[in-house]
Amino acid sequence: MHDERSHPLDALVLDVYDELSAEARRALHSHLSDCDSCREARRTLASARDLVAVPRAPGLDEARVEELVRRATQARPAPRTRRTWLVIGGAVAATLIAAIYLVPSRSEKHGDSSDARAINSLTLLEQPASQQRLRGIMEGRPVLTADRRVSAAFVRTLRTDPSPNVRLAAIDAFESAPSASAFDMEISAALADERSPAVRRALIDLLEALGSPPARRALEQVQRADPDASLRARASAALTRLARGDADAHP
Amino acid sequence: MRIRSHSMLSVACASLLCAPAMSAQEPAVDTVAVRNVAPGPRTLVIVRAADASIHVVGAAESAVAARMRRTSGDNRAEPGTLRADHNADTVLVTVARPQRAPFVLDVSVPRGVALRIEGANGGPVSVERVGGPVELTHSNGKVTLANVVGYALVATSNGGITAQLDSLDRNAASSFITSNGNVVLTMPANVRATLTIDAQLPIESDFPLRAEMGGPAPRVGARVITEHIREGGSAIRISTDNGVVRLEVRR
Repeated sequence: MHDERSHPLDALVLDVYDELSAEARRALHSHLSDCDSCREARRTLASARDLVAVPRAPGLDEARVEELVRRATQARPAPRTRRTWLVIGGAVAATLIAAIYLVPSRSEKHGDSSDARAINSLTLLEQPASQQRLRGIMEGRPVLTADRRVSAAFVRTLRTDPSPNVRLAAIDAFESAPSASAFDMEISAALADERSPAVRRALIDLLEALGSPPARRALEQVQRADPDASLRARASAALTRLARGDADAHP
Repeated sequence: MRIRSHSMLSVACASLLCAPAMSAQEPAVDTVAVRNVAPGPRTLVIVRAADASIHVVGAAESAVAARMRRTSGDNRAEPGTLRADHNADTVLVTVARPQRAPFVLDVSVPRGVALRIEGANGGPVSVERVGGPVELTHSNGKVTLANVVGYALVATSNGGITAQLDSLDRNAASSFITSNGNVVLTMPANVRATLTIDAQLPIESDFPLRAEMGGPAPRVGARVITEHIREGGSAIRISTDNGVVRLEVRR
């Protein structure tokens, strides 16, 4: 049995990031051998460490992630855009340790932290069951444009998730996001890859709502070359409405 | 849920195929069966077959049985065409080699299992008396589900969706999407649900629907609307084109 004070929490975090001395590691692992809760905490911390590696959509490089975050958050107050691995790890660790050891009811009292929500979302989006990934979309939706990890994971979901239902949920999330236009290039690229007619239709509608130059180019491509006549017609109607809106705005 | 090893149990089992759900006596191209499959939602049964009409029925037996027959009537036996793999809590039924012509796949599963069907370019797909959650991805075929418990995720194209939902898990989302056809959901009279529906769709509902209150007013041209049955509850997404949405009370 161990009371809370005897759990070597700092050492657990350092061990996960491979920053313990050999002697300290031996002592920690000796403790781990008979402490179930610390073993569980270490497993959780290791999962969190893996999660903070930003999941990548195909063709989404680090510079593009930075650009997405900058554009998505420029209208929002004081975003934290440049964190080191250690700071992220510390924040994750603090959240997890608080959740595991300290005050399980604290989040109920003060509302979920964005980090906890983001981590939940990222974890769920990695699950093999579609239902879990749908929950990941719902969980991450409120922080979609504020958290770069969630943004990148949603883009990846939109482009690669095997379930059309999950991809459609991601489209719904992007549409309701406050700065969805920041993702117009990724959403346009998703349209080119998408195979489900129902999801393609939703993407066309979303691109019309965005109305940006990349969105219009993607719509023009569908209008010109999509094998599905109903989708060509939908893209054409969307472009007509956008042009009409332009004319009304600049008579 | 991934199958990590392949303890192949491709066992032709004529006796199992005599279950009430599969009582037709016509000859089959191939049959497989897996015994000792636990009933209940911890067991996942995956049925993967392209160019097939798929009919899945829940039965009292603790076994998964599948029978394949041709629509052309040429049902000369071809052993080894169907394959069944059983690993831990997952059973995977697949068609081992490509087929020259459309065929019918009849599958019997224990009641209450989680069911995943991955079809493509087949005829109709139906699921009845399973009494568990269903995930179904298909194309060019209508989908009919009865006795769903928990949730349903359905995506198809060029075919309507009819689903009888016996009970819905409040914490699980359901989603029904097709590119062409009606979506008809039958639910218990006391259901609580929050529906997200493509904005342009006609809705015929036995349930009083209440537009979302307290959120931002829907913007003009919004792609989706949100409606509540009672005070809201299980999330249900409905998307179709060229069809209507009907919400019926289960009698």
